[in-house]
Amino acid sequence: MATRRSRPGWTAGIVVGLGVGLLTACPARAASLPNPITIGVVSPLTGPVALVGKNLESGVQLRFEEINQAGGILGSRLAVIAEDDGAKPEQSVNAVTKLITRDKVPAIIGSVTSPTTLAGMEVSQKYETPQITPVSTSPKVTQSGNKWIFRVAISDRHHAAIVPPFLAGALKVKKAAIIHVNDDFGQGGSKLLQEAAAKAGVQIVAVDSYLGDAKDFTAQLSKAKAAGAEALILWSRQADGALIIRQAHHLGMKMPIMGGDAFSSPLLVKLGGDDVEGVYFTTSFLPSPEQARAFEFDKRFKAKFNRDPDFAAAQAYDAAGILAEAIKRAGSLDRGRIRDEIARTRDYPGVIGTISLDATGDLVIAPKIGQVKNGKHVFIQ
Amino acid sequence: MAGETAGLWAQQVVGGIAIGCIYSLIALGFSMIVRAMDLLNFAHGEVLMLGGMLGVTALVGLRFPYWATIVAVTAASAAVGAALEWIVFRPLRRHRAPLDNMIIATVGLGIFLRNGAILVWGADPVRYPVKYGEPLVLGPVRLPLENLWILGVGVAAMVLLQLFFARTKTGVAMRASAFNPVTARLMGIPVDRMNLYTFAIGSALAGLAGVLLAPLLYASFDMGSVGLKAFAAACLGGFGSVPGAIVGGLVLGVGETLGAFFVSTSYQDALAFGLLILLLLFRPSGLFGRPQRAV
Repeated sequence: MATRRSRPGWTAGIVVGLGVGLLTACPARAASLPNPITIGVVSPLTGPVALVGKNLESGVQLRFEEINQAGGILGSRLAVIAEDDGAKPEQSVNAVTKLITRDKVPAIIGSVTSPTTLAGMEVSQKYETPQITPVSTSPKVTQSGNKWIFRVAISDRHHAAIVPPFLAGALKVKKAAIIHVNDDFGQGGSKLLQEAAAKAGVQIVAVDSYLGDAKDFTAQLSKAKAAGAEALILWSRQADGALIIRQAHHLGMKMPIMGGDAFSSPLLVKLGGDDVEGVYFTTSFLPSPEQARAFEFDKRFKAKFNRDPDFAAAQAYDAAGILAEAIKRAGSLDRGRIRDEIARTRDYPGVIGTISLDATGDLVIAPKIGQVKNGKHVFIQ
Repeated sequence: MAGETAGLWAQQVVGGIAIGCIYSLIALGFSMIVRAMDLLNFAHGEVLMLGGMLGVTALVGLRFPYWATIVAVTAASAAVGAALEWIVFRPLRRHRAPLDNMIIATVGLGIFLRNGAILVWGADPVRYPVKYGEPLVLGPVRLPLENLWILGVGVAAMVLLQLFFARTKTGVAMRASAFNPVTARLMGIPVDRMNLYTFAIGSALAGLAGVLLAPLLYASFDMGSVGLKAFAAACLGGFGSVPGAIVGGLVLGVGETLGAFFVSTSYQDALAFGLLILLLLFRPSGLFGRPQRAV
């Protein structure tokens, strides 16, 4: 690294800098932008988490539509080109590659499951294209040193940190068991939960895992029961989570059950029915009249799509807004400049709260705790 | 303490038998088709999926009770199987397509059925709207009623199938044409029609497995992946053997649940398939397989 520069270099730098400044300031530049500006969305539109993937895409659609009605950005409308990753890492790599190299999108929003985002963001890094995941919560996403990935979702570091204290405090639980899906999301979550439990004085008596497509959880649940667990922590997604909860009831396990933000999706109730009644979860988003922006968003989403939004829709809506702001500030579709502007996001008024991104591109918002009551997700803390 | 351990054992076995019964039903169809035509039907799991999805239509769309759904779906799946044989496999055989190509055709057919299901029923998993009530409590063991349905209907289907093969003229003719198609044809047995029946019955069993399995999980376009386990079960029991398919399914189901409980849940599938490899090392043609016939 050179610490001193020769005089000609200095002047050249100033000239280039001024030139760039003039170009961005020049309104004629904006007029030459493509219309519409097409943003890539990658999410699972098929498979067990398809509803979450669809909500992600709808959240982006809704935000872009509102921006377009208000006149668009830099004189252009915003449009979405969506690709299905089927919640599979290899399919995510193909989808992201296609969006960047064939559709030439300046930025990408997605995906849902942590393993798919971790795979896709390698491609984004290779092609130096900014990507924002509005759903994947594995800490690895932002801890890997990839400066092209951002997250408008609460990291499992924060989700996991509040679970054991809640169990110990509000529910007086001393012994808990963890059952987690055996992938980046589940393994990372389980480790963080164990650390948080040690701090909160909750003894973890059993830790068991299962593969993503497992259907029978008798063994995992029997182990938790035999170990004397007073509460069950599930680091699972909606479909597998609902199955585990039903099978726990079949085994006569009536203890409190708690999960992460996946359990705050209406999909959990849709698949779990009566069985998921009383289940606790952590989340960023639940529409209630006290939270004006979330409440308004909920109404608009329902009006347009005729279904309830979830955390994925809300976070995707905010991610789309943050990206649009960043493109506006960048004044061009230069991917590097858009990246830098996303990184500068501070105090963005999102529906999940006031959003700032930290040095690793991660969201700084504390999650809240909710419960399923009468088939509805409600905040309790 | 000893009683408690016995209870835990029994609970694992009960869970394993239910899932094993599903494996058996699918493996039976697999085996029948292999025996009759030497054809590995990789679309078999997708016929199960189709059964699960048709069940959604019957239960939600037509408001059938569950028992009527089971009957209707089994019949519909038989029709689907017959249609597949008639439209896809019979022309391929007529054109003397090599066996490898026919196997690849089953893979393609599977993909076609999976994507078709997404078009018709959507990509989201659907909860089966079947109410079962509280599980039966037998000492330390709790028996979910859906497992009892699987056990009851599954065993009844297998017994009926055995009777059909042993006692009816058509059953005997099907066995004869599977055993030696050329001789059977010389004896005046319409082998093509027997193949049609084989496909219909095999597919009916898969559809039945689908409609029994769906309440345990959900109906979704990707539920056919359980077919892979059933494939392993058929292998374990010995391809082409009816008792082999039944025993193979049960051994795999109980084995993977016990393994997960007593060894490690992280390696549940590895244990199940490890068991398969180990057994095949000592009995290359499976538990009940006929060694002389290569598949």
